[in-house]
Amino acid sequence: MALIKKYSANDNMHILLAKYLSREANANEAAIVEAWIKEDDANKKYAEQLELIWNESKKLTHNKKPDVQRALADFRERTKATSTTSIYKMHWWQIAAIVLIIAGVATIIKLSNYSSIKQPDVLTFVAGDTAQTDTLPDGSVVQLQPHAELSCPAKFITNQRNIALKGDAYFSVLHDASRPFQISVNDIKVTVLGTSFKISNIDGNTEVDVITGVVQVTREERSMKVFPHEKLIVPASNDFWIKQRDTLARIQLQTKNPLPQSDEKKSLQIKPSAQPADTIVNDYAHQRQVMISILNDLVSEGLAPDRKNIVWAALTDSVLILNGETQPESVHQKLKTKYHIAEEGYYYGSVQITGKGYFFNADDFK
Amino acid sequence: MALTAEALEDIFVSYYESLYGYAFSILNNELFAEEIVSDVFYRLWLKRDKLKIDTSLAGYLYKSVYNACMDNMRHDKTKQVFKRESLNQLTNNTLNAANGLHAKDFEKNLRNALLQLPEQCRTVFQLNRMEELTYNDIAKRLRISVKTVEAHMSKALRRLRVSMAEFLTLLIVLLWH
Repeated sequence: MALIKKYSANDNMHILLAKYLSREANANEAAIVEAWIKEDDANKKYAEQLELIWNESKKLTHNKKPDVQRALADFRERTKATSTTSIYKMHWWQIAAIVLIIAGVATIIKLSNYSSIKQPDVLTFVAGDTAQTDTLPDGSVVQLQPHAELSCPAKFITNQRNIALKGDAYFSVLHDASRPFQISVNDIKVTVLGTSFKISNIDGNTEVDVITGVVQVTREERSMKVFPHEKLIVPASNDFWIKQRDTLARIQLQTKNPLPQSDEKKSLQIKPSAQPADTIVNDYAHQRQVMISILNDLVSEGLAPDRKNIVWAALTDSVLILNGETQPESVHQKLKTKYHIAEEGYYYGSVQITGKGYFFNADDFK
Repeated sequence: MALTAEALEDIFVSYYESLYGYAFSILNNELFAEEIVSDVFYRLWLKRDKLKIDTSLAGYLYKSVYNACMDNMRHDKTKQVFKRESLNQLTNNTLNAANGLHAKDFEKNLRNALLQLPEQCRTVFQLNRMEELTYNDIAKRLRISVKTVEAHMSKALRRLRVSMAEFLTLLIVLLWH
């Protein structure tokens, strides 16, 4: 384009234009720019294009302010775990944590001495009728709920900390970026990035409650991160993963008013955060119905010719996406209002999407 | 230069929002942006005793966030989605032209165009546009001269104009008729 060639040669003019747009130009410079714009239509058009870019680039900012205090708290948590500061600078609770770890290590040494002269390759912890707290070889602490079973190598030699779990447990994992802490539970892998959280098994569904830090949950190709005050429910039989927020608040609520449980087996177990399985099933049926309705609306709004053409879609608080394309704001607002979308969105398709809410794929609608 | 834990927390509080905004403007994803900024600080903390920063700390932080974002885009699966979106860009723009252009399309194009800018050029542009810092403040923060800021600003503007040329022509045609 001749237009570009002509003016890209003119470096000074661009410096002035940029200054003019950012209100950095002095009176003299502003006069030069204004005269240049008036010179001819091409200049005017060019300046208008720059102004458009100028104004639009302002809009790329995130309008939601991040929670700096929460981020700082997470950061402190992270640095605390790998702290190398001298004991004199430590808080009492840091010292307490170290004492606890030493005690834990002592327990393990004792344990291994008891069993045989030769160190066992695998440590197994089994909880009886009451909950029991154990310290793992790396110093991480686990509280096994009644009848839960955990096994891990007696010594974590490799650069992995692999643990197998059956049942429910609370974890407080020592941060060590070089050795990820990975728990296998059912067919799911939970990778920990230094944190405390709880894993529960409820009728084959796996639930991960995060208290601090970040946890990554993986099953085959699918993977999702769980953040503090979030709970992820991974059903055994389908890929409908549910993410819920503010778990702690809910735990407190439910412990105060324990739900009556008809199943005798279930009532034996203490699961403060446990949501009865039938609620999950009901929720699932309901959310699935909503998802179907959203997909149908996409068709009736004329955004897709029919349901088969929808490969993936997402309806969230901030956006409506269909097959990778952001859809008109008017339709987004309409559907958002119709389905009361706030923090939790609806996601459909096998594309890897990050977000909070209800996730479905084609298998859910077979 | 060695950093105490207190000093690092001060830096964290002063720069977190700005760096988060920067990461978000590149990745367009809250979770990734959060994680990347947090990682950059964590790595800074790990090597706080043997830190060597030739330019300014702010410059170092923006650069680290920029590089981490680029890494993320290179390695992450979202990249595939992102790429596919950019490939569809032109055809969709043409399609949309019939129905009127959407602000979102423009935004997407601009985001892509910004990705083509070199690191410092982008940082300067970002600080001016998204945080509305003056040339003088940017120069101070990054410890570069005001002349360099001027040069980066004009370069950014010119490059964005070239990257957006096709889209702009379409848009201007629509506005004119």
